[in-house]
Amino acid sequence: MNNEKLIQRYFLNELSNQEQQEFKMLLKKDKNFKHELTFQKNLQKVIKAEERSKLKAKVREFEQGIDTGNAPTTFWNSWMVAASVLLLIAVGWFSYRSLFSVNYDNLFASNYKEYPNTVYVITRGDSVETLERKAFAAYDSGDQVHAINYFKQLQKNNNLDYLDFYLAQAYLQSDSVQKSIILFEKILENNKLFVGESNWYLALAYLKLGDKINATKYLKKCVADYDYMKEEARKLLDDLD
Amino acid sequence: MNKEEQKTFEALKNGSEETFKKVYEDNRLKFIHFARKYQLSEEESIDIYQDAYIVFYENVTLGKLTALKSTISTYIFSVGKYMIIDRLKKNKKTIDSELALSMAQDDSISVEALLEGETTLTQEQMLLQKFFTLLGGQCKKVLTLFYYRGFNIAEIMIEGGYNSENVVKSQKSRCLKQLKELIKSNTAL
Repeated sequence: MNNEKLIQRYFLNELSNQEQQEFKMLLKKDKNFKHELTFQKNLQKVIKAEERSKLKAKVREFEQGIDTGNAPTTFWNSWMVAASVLLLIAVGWFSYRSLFSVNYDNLFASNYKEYPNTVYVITRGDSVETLERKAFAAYDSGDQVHAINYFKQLQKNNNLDYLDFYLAQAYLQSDSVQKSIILFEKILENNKLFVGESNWYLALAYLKLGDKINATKYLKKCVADYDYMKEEARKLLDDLD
Repeated sequence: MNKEEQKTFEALKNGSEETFKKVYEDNRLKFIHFARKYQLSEEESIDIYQDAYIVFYENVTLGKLTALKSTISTYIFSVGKYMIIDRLKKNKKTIDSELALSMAQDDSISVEALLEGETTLTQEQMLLQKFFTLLGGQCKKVLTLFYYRGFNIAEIMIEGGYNSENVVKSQKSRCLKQLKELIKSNTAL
């Protein structure tokens, strides 16, 4: 096989065992062969860098869109567009509210139930007041301010799988909705416990924020991927439609 | 990977621009939140996120990643984590030993895949890059399909609408020769 073809097959990862031997031998003994291979390897790296910088330019463009909302070209244009958008939103919002308003607060209230403590049994006779006991006692009694505090302390020294979930519950009950969303999403990302449950509560958290798009997204996931609250999710999707 | 993720994965593989943008946006905020604990500035976090996302995307489109053991987000975050460590080292910030260990134990992505992602060019390669950009569109296309996308001659023939494999072969050789001549004539000055 000629050297050119051998190098070509090398780049395509197609060298047979015998060809690999030949390749190694040439690399040792033939300076021109080595030189040609280095040239093509450098070229490959250059092309890769080129393609990468194209991709980087593309994602940077997305970023600009996120920051400025695809900004128009001039200062006055941007103000005019912003003002028109605000006006449209305001008009749209009032018409929408008066005609077809979905009452997210009511939907949340009629679907939300605090998740019971299923992980820590509290008995009256407990003689040792552990941090975990304090946390779940506060959680069970609805004292979420203290529950949050204790759960956070627990997190520092323990790697208990369910802490994120109950902390998220406590946040959601105490109206720190954004904080609960971050934790529920983290659970979906990493955990094995309470995943279906977190998905349902994420939908409810977004509902509480009036974010129909994300609420719908997670409700659809509830229906498609999990058993927990599947029927309730289906019904809620109909209500939102 | 659930069904929805599988769909997204396939769409990315097939070059859907819309999905490329959507996946970028879906994971962006989560990554920024995640990167906060490493005390990087928001700009640095975004920069790392972009690089990690590009590595992920390249691995999907170039066929190096054919299936995911976990989720798309987990993959991007794993790449990002390595890149954060790298950045911290370069910034000479101390790295918590536990953090380093937890990162090293993350086996959802191979280190080789990341090393391959390194695109810092040497002086010589930068010069080569300059001349590569001077080549005509056809040459750039053929060489990119071969060296970047990993297409063989027959695949390039179909993709580029060439009449025969021989035409592709000679086009590729001509382009390499042209590139070498460009370098020669400029370095001889």
